Amino acid sequence: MARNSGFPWALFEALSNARGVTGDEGPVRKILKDFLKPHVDSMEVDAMGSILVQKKGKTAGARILLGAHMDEVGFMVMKIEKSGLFRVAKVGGLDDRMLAGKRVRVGPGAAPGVLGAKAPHLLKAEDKAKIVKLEDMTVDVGASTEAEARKIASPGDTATFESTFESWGPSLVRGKAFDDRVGCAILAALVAGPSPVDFVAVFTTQEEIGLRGARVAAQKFEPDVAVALEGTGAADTPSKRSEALGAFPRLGDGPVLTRRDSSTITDREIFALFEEAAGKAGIRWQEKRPGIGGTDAGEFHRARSGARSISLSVPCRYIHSPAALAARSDIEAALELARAALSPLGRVKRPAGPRLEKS
Amino acid sequence: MALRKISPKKSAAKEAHGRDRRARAQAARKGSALAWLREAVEIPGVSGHEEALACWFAGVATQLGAEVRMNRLGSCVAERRGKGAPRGPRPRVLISAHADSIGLVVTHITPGGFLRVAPIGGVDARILPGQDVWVHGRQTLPGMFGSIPPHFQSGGPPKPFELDELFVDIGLAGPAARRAVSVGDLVSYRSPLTEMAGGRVYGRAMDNRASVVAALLALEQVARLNPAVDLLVAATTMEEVGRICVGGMTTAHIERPDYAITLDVTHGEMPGVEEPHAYKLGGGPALCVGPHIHPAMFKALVETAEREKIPYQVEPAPASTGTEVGDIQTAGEGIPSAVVSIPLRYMHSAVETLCLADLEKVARLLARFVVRLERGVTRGED
Repeated sequence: MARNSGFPWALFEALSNARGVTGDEGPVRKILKDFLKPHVDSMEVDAMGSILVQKKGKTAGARILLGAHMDEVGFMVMKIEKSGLFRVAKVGGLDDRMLAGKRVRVGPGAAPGVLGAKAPHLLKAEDKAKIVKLEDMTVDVGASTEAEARKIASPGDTATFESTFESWGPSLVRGKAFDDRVGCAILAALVAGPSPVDFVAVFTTQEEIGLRGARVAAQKFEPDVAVALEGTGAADTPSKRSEALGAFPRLGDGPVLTRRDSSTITDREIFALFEEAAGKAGIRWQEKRPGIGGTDAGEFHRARSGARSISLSVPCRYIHSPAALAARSDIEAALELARAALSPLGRVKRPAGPRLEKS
Repeated sequence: MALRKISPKKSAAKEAHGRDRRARAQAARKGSALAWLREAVEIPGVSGHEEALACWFAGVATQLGAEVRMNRLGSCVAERRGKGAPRGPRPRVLISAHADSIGLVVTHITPGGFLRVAPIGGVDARILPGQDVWVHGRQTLPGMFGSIPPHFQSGGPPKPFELDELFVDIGLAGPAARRAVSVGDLVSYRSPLTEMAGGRVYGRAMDNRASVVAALLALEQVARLNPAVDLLVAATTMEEVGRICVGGMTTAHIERPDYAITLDVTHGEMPGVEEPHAYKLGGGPALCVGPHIHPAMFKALVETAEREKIPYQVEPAPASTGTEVGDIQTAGEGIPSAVVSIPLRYMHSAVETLCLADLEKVARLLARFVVRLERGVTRGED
């Protein structure tokens, strides 16, 4: 059952544990650069902080761009209170309802801290019906004065959730920032291995606040076809919405192909190309629930004169929370599917312009 | 729960062999607050299921030279006789700290293998989404409360999640989950004790293991001071559930002390939680005053703190103190009682935060107060 795609599990673990809130992706970038260095002729870091790699394959074909984002959702320190507590703001999409009482790491030194909320004993009845907002919480690192706190972090520094990568039984892995370190690890594996075609790999920044690194990377390379490699939300957990709309994607049912999300309407031919590649390679895949979320493909597909784009994702439960859960088999299969799609992607014709004859 | 089933000597022997035992004894001699706290919070000890914790408590107390006994509802009492004739007469002083902590229990396993749970004690549902837990099934398994990502939430203004919308994910499909976990299995928070800046620590179940540890530290100091007082240190059960604190109540009834001091945690100050409902972390013990406290006990505690130059804070409690003291004070013919509290932030979360120095201060105050009780206390009205 277990596939052996050569997925770099140790790299994925290191990437998941690394701290890289949007705009502060340095530690993630360092791990990726160290991993990629022996496998590439050249590598550059652009003005946005994205890592750009031009991979030589056996043949040149269509200009292919593969992307994964390095940043993760988290927090930014806004203010230090006289009491030594930090006020923080969200970076990226976070639900207030899962923040109270969570463990965090603060500042460049990763000081342990907690997102403290008032004890239930002290709540008035009307408070209980209200959501505790992040603005009403503080991050406590143990400091009792402003000066003590300043040694740990200053306004502008970031904080991450505290979670350590681990295996849950033989088939699952669990950790922080699978969105999108899983994509980074898949893309790094593609760069490290042999490729039938040339492609450009971009490890982007600032996806979580509006796909900003992706825009710049795609504008530079002007791809014909682009693929965003992602960790996407699984919807196979109990909820009224899943009952109504179907509980998919599911953990263990294979990589996820997106027809439409809030950022992109996938090019039909590219979708069919992936479908066919999966079929030929015997890889089970699943649909993403249409309309939800957005990926770097949103910027890839509208960069310069446009690129035909798709998102290929690993289903992960509980993205944008302290830790996500993913199936090893889905990750391996996503890498295999990406690899299987490379040759056909190289044969994609660059459309001369808008396909007017079809409209 | 019978005494023979949880003979502390047997369990201590089982747990500790060779080097382990020596290391443990050394740690016990050093009376390391942090080392004991780390061990104590690792034990789940959910209300009604305190056996392992009682065994740990008994092991440490035995090494400190106390004689331990377990009572019918699981509370563990360590007795240290004071100087003088073997049978006294000496004042009997009870220091009680409830050993149990809040937790959850599995009520249902969904066809998909997700666990539905109910609270044991005052669980705060607001902290549960995304919370790491241990599920104490056939084996102890890691789990987490599922959270619905913002992307999947339906429209409309969001409301706080109710516990019955939430579930624990242990990463097992239905049949496997049902083999690993049964309805009735316990769930505890997963949050290792972590050292922070400023001598503070966070972790689960600090409410009330911090007090259990402070009581043991006090026992250690009393052994050195050797007053003419018979000291009883009790790790009591089932404080977090129900209106009556069953463990403290029955322990007081059995032991019939002359004086009783209950150790518990109180709310630490933080934004939105200010005096008169909150006490400074690092500011030393909070001493309750009010109808549940014998005025002479409070006065003697204050005098002891001032004489020993131990900083303290006064915690007015117009009715219940929120501790088991109310059920100890009214045991038997009535027991002059007091409450000493450790300030703690984020109570009943998995990241309860306190200042280690407060534990030491509480222990020193208690030990000196036990010595003070050689002379007894009276209202001074008669």
